[in-house]
Amino acid sequence: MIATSFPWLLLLIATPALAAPLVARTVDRDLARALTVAASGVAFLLALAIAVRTQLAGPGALLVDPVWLPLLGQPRPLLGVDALSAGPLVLFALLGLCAAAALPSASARPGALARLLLIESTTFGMYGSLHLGVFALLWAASAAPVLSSLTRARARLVFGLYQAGGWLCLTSAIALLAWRGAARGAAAPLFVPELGAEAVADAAGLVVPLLVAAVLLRKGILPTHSWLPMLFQESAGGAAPLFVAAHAGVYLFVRVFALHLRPALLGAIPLVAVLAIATAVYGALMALVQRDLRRTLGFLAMSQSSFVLVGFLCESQLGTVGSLMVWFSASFALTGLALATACLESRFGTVDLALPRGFAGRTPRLGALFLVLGLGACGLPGLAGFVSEDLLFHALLERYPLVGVAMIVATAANGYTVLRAYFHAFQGPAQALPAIDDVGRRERLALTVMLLALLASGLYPRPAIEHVSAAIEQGSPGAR
Amino acid sequence: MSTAALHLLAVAAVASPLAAFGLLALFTLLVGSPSERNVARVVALTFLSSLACTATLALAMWSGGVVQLDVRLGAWFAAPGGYRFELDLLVDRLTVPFMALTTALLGVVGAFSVSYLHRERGFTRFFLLLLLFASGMLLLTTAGTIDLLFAGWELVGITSALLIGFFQERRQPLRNALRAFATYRLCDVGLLTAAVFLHHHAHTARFVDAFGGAPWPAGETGLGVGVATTIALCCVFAALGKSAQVPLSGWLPRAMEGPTPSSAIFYGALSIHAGAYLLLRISPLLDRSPLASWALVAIGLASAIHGTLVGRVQSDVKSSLAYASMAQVGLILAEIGLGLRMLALAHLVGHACLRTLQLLRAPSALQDHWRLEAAWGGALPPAKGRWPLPERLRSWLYRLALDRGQHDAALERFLVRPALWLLGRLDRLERRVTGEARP
Repeated sequence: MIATSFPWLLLLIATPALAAPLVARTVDRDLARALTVAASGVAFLLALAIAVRTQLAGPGALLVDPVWLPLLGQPRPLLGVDALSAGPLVLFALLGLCAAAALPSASARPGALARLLLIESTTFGMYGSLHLGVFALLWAASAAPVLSSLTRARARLVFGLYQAGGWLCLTSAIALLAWRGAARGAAAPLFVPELGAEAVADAAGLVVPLLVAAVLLRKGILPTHSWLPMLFQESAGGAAPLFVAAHAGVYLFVRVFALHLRPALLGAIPLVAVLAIATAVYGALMALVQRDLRRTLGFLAMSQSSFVLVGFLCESQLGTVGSLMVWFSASFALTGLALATACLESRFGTVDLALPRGFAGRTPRLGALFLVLGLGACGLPGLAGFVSEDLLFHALLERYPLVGVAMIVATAANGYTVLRAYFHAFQGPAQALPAIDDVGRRERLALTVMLLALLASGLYPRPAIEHVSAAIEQGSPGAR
Repeated sequence: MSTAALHLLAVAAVASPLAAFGLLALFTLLVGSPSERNVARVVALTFLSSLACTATLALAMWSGGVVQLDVRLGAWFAAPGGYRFELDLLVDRLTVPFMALTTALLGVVGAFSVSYLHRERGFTRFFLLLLLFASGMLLLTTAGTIDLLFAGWELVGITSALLIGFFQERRQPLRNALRAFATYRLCDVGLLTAAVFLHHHAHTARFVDAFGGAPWPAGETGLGVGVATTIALCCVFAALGKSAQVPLSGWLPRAMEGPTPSSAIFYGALSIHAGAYLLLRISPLLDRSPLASWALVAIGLASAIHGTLVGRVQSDVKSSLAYASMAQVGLILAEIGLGLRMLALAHLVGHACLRTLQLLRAPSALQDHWRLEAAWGGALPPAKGRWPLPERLRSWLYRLALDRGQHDAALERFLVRPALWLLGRLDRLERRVTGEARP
């Protein structure tokens, strides 16, 4: 554990958090956008600097901020970053920046932009949190801006109930861990780096089912998934894809379960794996029959985000690397698709996929970006999705040969969904459409950055895979 | 010629269309669509250079007595636990004819398309997709590992669907493209599963290692009958979709909605034979698995009969040629199943060349007919000869052929509609939970 002299992580979390109220009060939309992009840009640079510092600190290093929390008499650092959390920090900061830049003007109201900043801040906090209590607080806080983005009362109720259920499970599990830890005299039973063999014993009984339930609810895994497609359909302003791309449930799973409480979890792995695979297939099949483009993306996101969980359940390093690579490729591709959809809707209104709409006749560049981003999520060779799914399927079929084939079926269906969405939204007769400009420079730049990230890591994936593999090696407790 | 020079030629033949695609795509994205003349020059140069590399490689291998060239370019990516995605090319007696066929026919079709698509909206898009298809096809045919073959296979599939839907102002081509893509994606499951199982059981994805190192067609596999049968059946399933064999052949006549040059190169020449290539490549697995071999023979013969029957009642020339392709590919697959690999390869090359010519001439079929009549000096006599079949059987076969064997109707009725009905019900349930209105 290396203490830094300056609270870099706190600054990273505080930058979007402080900018959010300022943006929300700004009347001028252009100024609000400029402030949001600036805050997200600063956050991205800070995340990059933190990642470089972590890399330079050497293998297995945990850089902690000089922000201490007194825990039962012995102070512990509140925030820290290691090789495993540095990657998601940079990835999410870049996603936030792209979302802030690509959000079309019609959706980029100050309130919506402020919500993006709050999601960024709370997610950075979750990735950097070293204390499970703080993690649980930020877990709840990250759902609040998304909840406020929903306008329909029933939608708010459904989303709120699922998220509150997940949070209750998480806090109950954490409270149980704390109580049992305190009973055996542990100095800091919720301090993640000190979760050891004793914590595994603490986690026996109710803790594991509660934590698993929290992960399932947050990830939208069957049968607790209904909020996810609804969120994509009803939440405007880019909040939905960012909330899903944060993968808080998976992060909790890896950070706490896979690295520290694995022996306690072993019994639950087959059940979670089957549920995750079923979700991948169900989401992929349901996406086939949707008419609304946003809802289609919701089911696609549901399918893809369960891919991320499945790899971790293969109990092999190959699977873990595959999962982290899918995390990266699916986050960029789905956020890009959602933003491209927002751009399309700002020009033509809600996109009904019942019949080909012919939007490419007016917005050919947006169509091309949509297609390539979509195929990036579904395994087109040369893009990151191909590499990540290749790794994932090899790990999966070795661990679960029969049900693993179902995942291949899911990815096949997802590819079809992307092409169907592209054909029905962008191709077809365009004569009746109004004369509207193609995607603007700002939107195009942001979407192109996302596409280039997918392309670069698809054509030359070795650095990304080596970094991820090293991070897993270094992130394990044994490495410290 | 040195081995390094041969390796360089093989890489150049495969890489040149990919490089041309990258450059053209980048230029179009950053600057805008280039002129038709410039696109035509880039395409001509690319296919000529690829053909020249292939021809030189073939001649050098023949004169030097080299029967197998194993080009190892290292790992594209590797992961913990020993998994590596190798970038290996394999040039042998199976690859060289395919490479020559691919580069030569792509050059011909490219040259033809420049005039055919002159001033057509999407001129650049067509050639971008043609270059991407060429990259995929060359990658597929030269792949030294099943993983790399799958990458090429995927590129062929997506370009095929995008070219069927090339005329984007009309709805029918889009429907047909989706239909073809659905079949492709379904059958890709077979190839990807085969790739992972080969990795798992043979501990390698390299064909040379998995099949004992002997040059094609003399390879042998050390895998057990059960494993070999599973992998071979997965590959047969993959080939069914790509090569439009029964019962998954319904997409082929629909695929003729694309521009004629792409129909010629995809469904007359190359893409439709990709399944046959895959089965020739894994023929040691077929040797080990009588079940898969006989299944292949049965499917091939059924497809040949189906294609022959249905093709005879088609009222447009492209559909008729599509069914003729299906019939010939069925025979080629049956030959592969029977172990007649060299015959299958020769059959394949001859069929690809003939069908490309026929499809490229298809738009001029009426004109050709009138010229013939003019030369004949009147209406041409009707074709003679009828099958010696009872009238009732003949009319039943006619109705069956008109319904295209009722494969599509059966699939639609017993598989697609029930699945869509069930998914629709589930969607209504989802919406009820969240209180959303039905669309």
